[in-house]
Amino acid sequence: MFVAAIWLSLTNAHAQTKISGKVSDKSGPLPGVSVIVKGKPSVGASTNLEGHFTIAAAAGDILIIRMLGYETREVATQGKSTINITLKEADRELGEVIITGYKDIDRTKNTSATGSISGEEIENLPAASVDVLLQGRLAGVNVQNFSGQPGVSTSLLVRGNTKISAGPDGFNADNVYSAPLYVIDGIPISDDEVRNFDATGTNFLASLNPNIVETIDVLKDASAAALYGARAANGVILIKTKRGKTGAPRFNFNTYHGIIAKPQKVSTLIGAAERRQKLDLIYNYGNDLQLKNNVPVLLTDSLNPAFNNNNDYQEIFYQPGSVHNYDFSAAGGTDAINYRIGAGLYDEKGVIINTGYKRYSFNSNVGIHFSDKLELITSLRASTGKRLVGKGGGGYRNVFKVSPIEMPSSLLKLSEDDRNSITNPYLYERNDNINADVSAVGELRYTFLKDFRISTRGALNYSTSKNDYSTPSNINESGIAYSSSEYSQYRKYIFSNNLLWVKTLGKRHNLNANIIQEFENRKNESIRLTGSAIPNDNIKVVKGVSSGNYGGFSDLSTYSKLSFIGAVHYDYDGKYLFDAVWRGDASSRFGKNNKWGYFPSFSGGWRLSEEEFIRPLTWIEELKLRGSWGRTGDESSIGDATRYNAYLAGSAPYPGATGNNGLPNASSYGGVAAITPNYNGITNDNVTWQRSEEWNIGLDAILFKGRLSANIDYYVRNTTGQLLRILLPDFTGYRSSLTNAAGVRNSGIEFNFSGRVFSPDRAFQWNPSFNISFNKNMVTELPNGNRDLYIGGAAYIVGRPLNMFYGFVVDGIINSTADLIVNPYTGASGATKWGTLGLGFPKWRDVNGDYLISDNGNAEDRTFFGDPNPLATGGFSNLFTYKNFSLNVLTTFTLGRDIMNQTLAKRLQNGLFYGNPEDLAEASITDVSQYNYWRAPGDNATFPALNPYMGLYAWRVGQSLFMEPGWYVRIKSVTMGYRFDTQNNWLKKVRLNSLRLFSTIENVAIFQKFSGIDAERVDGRGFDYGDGYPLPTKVTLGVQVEF
Amino acid sequence: MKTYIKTKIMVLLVGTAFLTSLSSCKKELANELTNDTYEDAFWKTESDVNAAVAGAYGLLRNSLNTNSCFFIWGDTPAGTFASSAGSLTTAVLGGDFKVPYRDEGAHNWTNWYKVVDLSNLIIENVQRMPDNLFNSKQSKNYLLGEAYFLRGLAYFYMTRTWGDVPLQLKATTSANVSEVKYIPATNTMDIIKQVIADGKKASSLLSWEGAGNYQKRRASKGAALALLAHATAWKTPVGVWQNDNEQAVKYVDSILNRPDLFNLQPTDNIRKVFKNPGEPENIFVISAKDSENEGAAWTRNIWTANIAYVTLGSDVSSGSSNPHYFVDRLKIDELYEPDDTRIDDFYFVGKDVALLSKYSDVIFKGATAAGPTEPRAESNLIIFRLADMILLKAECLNAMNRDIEAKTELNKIRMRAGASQITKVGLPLAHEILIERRRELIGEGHNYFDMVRTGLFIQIPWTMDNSRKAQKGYYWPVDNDILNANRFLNQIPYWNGKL
Repeated sequence: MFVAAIWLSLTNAHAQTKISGKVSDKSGPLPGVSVIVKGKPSVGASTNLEGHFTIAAAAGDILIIRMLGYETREVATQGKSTINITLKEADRELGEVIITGYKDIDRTKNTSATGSISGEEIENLPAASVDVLLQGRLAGVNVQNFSGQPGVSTSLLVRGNTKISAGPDGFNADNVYSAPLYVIDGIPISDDEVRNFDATGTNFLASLNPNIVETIDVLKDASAAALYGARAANGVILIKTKRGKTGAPRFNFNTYHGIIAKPQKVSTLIGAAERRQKLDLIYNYGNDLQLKNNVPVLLTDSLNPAFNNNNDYQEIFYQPGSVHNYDFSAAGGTDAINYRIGAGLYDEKGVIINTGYKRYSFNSNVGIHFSDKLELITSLRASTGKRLVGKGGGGYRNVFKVSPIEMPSSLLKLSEDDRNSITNPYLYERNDNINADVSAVGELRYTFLKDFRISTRGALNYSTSKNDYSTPSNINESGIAYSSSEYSQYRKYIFSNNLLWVKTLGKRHNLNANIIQEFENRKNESIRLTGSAIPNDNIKVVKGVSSGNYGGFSDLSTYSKLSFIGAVHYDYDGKYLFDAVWRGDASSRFGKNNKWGYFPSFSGGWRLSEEEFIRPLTWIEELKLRGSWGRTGDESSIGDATRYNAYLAGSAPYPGATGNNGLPNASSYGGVAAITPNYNGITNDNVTWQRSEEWNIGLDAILFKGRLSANIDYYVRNTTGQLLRILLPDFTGYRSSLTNAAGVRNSGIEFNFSGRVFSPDRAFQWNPSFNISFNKNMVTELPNGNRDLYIGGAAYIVGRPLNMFYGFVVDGIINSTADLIVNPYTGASGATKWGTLGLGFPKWRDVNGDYLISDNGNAEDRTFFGDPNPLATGGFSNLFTYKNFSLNVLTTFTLGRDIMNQTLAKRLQNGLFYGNPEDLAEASITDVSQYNYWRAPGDNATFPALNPYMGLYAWRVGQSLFMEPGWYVRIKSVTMGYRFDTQNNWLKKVRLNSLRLFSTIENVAIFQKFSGIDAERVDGRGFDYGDGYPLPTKVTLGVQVEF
Repeated sequence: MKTYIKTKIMVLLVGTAFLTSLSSCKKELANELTNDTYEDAFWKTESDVNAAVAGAYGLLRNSLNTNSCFFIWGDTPAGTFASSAGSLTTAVLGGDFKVPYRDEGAHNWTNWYKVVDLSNLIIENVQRMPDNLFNSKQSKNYLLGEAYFLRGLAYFYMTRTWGDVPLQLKATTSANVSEVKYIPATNTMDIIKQVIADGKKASSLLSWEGAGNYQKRRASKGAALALLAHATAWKTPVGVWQNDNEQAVKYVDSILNRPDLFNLQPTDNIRKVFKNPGEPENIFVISAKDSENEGAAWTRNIWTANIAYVTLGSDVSSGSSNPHYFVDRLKIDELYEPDDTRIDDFYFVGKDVALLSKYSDVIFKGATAAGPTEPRAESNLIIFRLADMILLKAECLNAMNRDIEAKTELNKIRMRAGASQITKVGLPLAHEILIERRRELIGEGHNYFDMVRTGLFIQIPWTMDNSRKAQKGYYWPVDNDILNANRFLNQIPYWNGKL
């Protein structure tokens, strides 16, 4: 757009006349529409309440008519003095350019694989952050909302996972995804820099109010992503917030309120049914001696209160939730200034007690045109959020004080204080998690020598997160009150200079080039203070503690990066397109030998629709073939200071000295502060960037006068040099070293179709859009000579997908002694490390053929199986409109993956794991009659015996027995809306420009073969977790008013 | 014209900004580490070295405390203790060293190599540092001596436990492939030679006075001599290493010649060796004082629980149940004469069981209305004390057929305990010395190694037969992870395939 502006500003104005007219849409006149003369930003007008405008323009001028929510039109005056214009409502309010923060890409001339949605699509959906709303909306973007907890991050992958979770901190089930780089209004933020020093665990994207988002663009292939070089290997997500537009001031008030339904509980028997079932299991399996000596009294005593009050203990953790949201904004602009200033409040009360998220946000985007040549663009966002974290501590997934899948049968044994501290910890504890975020960007642009523009941008991001925790003496086992306070601060600034040159040579050779220099600096700081034996329970801070009971430290981490970017676009007559990007990054994370990384990319496009031989085919409106190659980088697997071989100061820990209540472990020996090398790992001097090389070919088409549009992309992305810990010889004292050692390949194909079923002039409209992405994921390289890697129950094998399951393969149930493995040399039958197998046990496969089932190093029978990575993900959205009514139904799906039903394993093993019937008596139990389990010889059972005397860990989680198909189809959201006629008399009377009522149902229904509650609620390794946070159904009602 | 000026201003502004940012980022990109010390910034002062030496002692304390391996190795197979914890009874009663869930401490030697590596690092760096960085040449030597001592001690523990182990005498400072190659194990004979070499070096660098200065919780000349005595007296049942009893006796005598520093406690003060590091009888102990925030907190987890909590009963902490290791009352009666003072000094004797009280120096923090909670165990782990030396001397003298002198040494210990004098000779005397070490040093990590050294596997509820001896079954198994990683290493033949 600015290109056009530069050019047109140079043409001289002709004689001026007054032109008047009326702007309307299909339902009547439109007030507040901005009308400007193209090339003369200083000349403008806006329509009054009747839709009339008057403007001074010359005969040859072109008028630009613009209004939020409508397609912008350009109308030539052609000497007319009255012009009536009808505006069409925009389907998707996408700008003509993709604003990357470095350069603006013309969508029609784009040669890279990008996906985009407008903010309207995700507007007013009840969620705290935008990432969770992207599910099923963009081809190539796989969102799995494995937790419904308000304000936490789930997973968002662009074109498949590349992460082997074995970085500096070892395996972390919460961090097994390769997160993309987020760029919010030009400020890049990567997951690893935020995760560092985080005190609250709140999703950093929750600081952004989803309702201020104008567009979200995803840079999927390397060609555009190469602009972001070292951090773009896993895709880039560009988020642009709404800005003011020229026109009269508009005030927008928007609010919705909703209820959140109580989630489905894990199946549990209670009362007499529970007792009967437990006794049935005992009498079915117990032998005479066991029945004589080993039947728990708790069960035989039918008057036991545990089984008579029908106590549903799970119930105490759930509550009906609610969600409230308010947004207010004022927007408008003149030729000299445009602004949009808004404030919002989001408040969600979670469905698990003591969970929720509340955010206050403010944003202000202001643009100033000082002159035709000098322009200032600013944006400012500030927000603060408070998250309630359930029971608190132990990772954000862990919200229950007593896990509903491993619950005891009864909580009767607990004292009132203990029970209260479980059901309502906040009655006793203080647990405040508060985040505050400010980000500001200012960019000054100056156009000179006709074709050149130089701009300088400064951006600042400042975030704090604070956790205050205090627990009184009366609910702690130790009888001691304890408090802690943790504060972390994240400060980043980016400074960049950008020189742009735009030139058209010989009318057909279009050229634009950027040279950019950028410097980024970040500082993470944290302070933690702990105290135990707080003298009084009323003190909920660290105070009054004797000197030996204090603990704490402050910490600091810095990062900086210097980058140079060159980007060139050339096209011949808008027909043959060519782009090249080159970026060089020097990162402080790397030593001086490997400081610089270079990231080039090339891409080309051919707009077939511009060719003479396609032009006659009128049904083709737009047809473009694209191809790209590029290299991007990733440095997230190495920490800010990993390259230093840091020594541990004040550290002489030993088992048992583990400081209770957060106090530090022994920091000295004999009173002398001890310093040792960090034997967890030594740094390899040669560590360098992780690289990713990607090929992409794609096709974009708009057919049948815009009634059908399609995008198809095929890609292959090779990620190499992922930093992984490799084992070091034990006699060095060190455990491991970080090395660029692993590689992962992702390849796939993406389809995106959207259409308009009926012609635009019909009152009833149906606009379906469908996307599906197939991705194949494969490990290509592993350290130590491609040795198989097993970490945290996940397996990595070259040639296989990431995160395969690792465990025992079960070939049915042992039904007769003939099923037992017999060692021909010793005659031992059914031998395991834990004892001897018998009837009703799972038939574990003896993988290594040593006639012994074991999980020991050199007798290992656990192996890899299954694949938790989805073969395909996507979504299907249908927008129906009839006059002023609209109905939008979004269905999302994830197909072709395996998941482990960990919940079922845990439910069935509860009380049976160690083969002690006393455990069974005290454990809660599911209704087992629904499962085909082994009861007697000859049973053709799917599951092993539920034998309370059996033991041998037969019900362990890691076995193929619990693997289930993990596909699901989910009706994600249904939104209904009604827009009141702007011609409506009473609307006019109260001087409202528009009024819209809407209602949303989120998480309407799920279709799955998985036998558990929700096939989406699984972690990156494919383990379902029934004790995680449910994805509840939310129903909201809202109103949007503009005046 | 106006535009032209503006352009100039703009170019100037942007240009300045550009240059400033370029020059400032040079420094930022170096990213000087400020929240940790690291290799290049360290080794500059004497206090750096002192902190590293304290770190090495800390690593030694960590090695000994991991699953209380000194106790698992030295005491569980010796037949004195009983256990009711299922996963331990096989080790205690059956001579089966699998000790489930305790393999990190009992089978894995990685912790010990941390002591070795840091000692190597200290030796290399201190030798490189100029003398003027230290208070005196003596203080530099002392720190160096401590590193040699710690390295020798770590190898001595390892070779007693596993026999052949990899010999690493160079610090690891980089993970470059050329520097860290897998190496095979070195014969136990050469390991012992290295231990003796390190011990001698330490003995020449360390001073006697260090014993007093450091309250015996850091090495002194006495500690180095005690290590030398043990190392020279060491042998294995199927011997590749020929012990030198005469030399061992000389080393013990050198310690005995400094009664000003090392002396037997009087009868009624014997328990103090566990409480106070600097007691006369102690030679080298590992301390864990709560006053220095180094005590061990109570934990429910029996695998990480401190030795105090696995040997003491529920009286130590409200939540703890019976201890995991205890001594049957009958065993006490069988082991000790009825009026042996050590019964009361070393045990809490109950009707059926006796609990080892050597680690009962527990203090309580955090007074609440219900009384003090939060126990902190702070007993010393005794590496060497004089009673051990005297009995070792008796053992060596007996081996050299100098039974009269041997009996004198043995009876010194018995006399203090109020036990009767021994008059046996020859093999019966050897048995008696071995059992006396059990009576005196129970729970201090010696008793099983005493059996291996003397080859006398007596009064234990399991048997060490010749075939097990031939397969080196007196060693402890090596952790599978270590064998899986290093193809140059082999499992102890007896344990092959048993883990």
